[in-house]
Amino acid sequence: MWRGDLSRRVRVGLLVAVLGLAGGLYWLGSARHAGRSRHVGGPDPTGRPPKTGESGQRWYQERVSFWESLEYTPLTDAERLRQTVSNLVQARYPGAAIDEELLIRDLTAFLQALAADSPEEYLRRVSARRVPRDDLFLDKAVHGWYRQATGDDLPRDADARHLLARFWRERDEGPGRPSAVATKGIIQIDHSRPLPPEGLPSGYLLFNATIPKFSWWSSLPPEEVERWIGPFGQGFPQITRPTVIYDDLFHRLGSVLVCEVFVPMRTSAGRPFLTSIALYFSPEETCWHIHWFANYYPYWVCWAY
Amino acid sequence: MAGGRLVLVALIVTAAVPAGAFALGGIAKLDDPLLAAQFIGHVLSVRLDHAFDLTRAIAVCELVLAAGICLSLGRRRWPAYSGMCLLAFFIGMLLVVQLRDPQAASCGCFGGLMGRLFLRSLWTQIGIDLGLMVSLAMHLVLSYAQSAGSSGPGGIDNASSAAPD
Repeated sequence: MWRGDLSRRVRVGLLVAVLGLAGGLYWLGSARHAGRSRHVGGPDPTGRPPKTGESGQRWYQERVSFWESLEYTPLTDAERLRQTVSNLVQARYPGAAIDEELLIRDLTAFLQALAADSPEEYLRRVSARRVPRDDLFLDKAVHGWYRQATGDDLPRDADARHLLARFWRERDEGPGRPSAVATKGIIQIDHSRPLPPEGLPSGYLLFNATIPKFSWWSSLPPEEVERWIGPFGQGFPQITRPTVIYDDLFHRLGSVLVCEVFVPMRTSAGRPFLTSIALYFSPEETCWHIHWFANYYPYWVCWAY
Repeated sequence: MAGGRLVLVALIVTAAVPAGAFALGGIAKLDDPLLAAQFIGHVLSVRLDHAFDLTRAIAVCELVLAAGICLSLGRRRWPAYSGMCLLAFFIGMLLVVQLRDPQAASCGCFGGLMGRLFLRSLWTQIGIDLGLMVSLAMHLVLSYAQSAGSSGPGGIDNASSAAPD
């Protein structure tokens, strides 16, 4: 006859099974352990640098010769930079009705700020649009990049100026300092059409975002996304934040005008990589804010903004 | 005794499911507490470093409850009752956020697993927590039935189920 009092062996066995199953599930499902972090259009929500897999290398190698063939404008060359951005913006998406001058002005200002010699100079240049964040410890992307760049965990008292200085130093000492932006090969992006075999050169998309976390990529099937921007992407850590944040604007207005710019850039070591810069329009301030700045695949690129 | 075996299997299943969820949540939050800390800090309006400590404390509680539920298996009922209280606390927090900010997407209850499996909205998470509460409630009902049965003639002999909670 079965006796209801279960033996200790059964109870301990159940505990071991439950813990083992939970641990195994976590191990398999966690991006950190499985290396399955996959990001489309904007900063990786997990904030962890994905592993550089074979598919990413292949995607990059298939396109790098095309990117290398492009002409680049140094970020320090203000006049040419403005012309480059102007060309990019004027290759406008059909149906877009915007004040192009504002977009050219604000995107050029951001790129110029990235070329600043020091974090103090960078902060000064972006101060009209961005302020240092006081919630850095909340941001998984900052954690991931800090760990990747320094090998250490992010300090609890992480301060924007300290972190920016740290990233600036990493940037200057490492091979991944973005220094120039492509001036040729601009296309109008239409993701309903097949992508050229060499991949996405540069261009931009403009649309009214009607979802809180905008990303038009999210409406595409994964294989289509991969065809456009490759298997991996990573947002650079945001050490500063816009004076008006996207979510607030969205909750107030219901929809936000968004522009996502894709443009190849080149590091100081001459290696090209594809970036995405997403901006949104603040009608009250009549200016464009940077929502994210991301790169696709090659993780030797190091930047913070 | 087919009926007794059925009760035993039901006891194990109704314990294993919530215990597994608690264990998974505890492991995930200990390994990757950031999302949950953000969420807790937001809901309870506490400083982030305190939210981190609170998240880790909750994770430890979840692991203790997982172990308690498995090891007691109806003999002691405090792990199931405590688990239900913790789930009620979670559901309360999730509802507050869901009603206050319907756009909120993630509570970080399962750390780095959030958004990777099926945990894509707060409503999903609320549903999961309600399911776990039902499982624990069934576990308690079974444990009471078991102890009641053990006192009757020919019932399940389980003297230890009367151990004080």
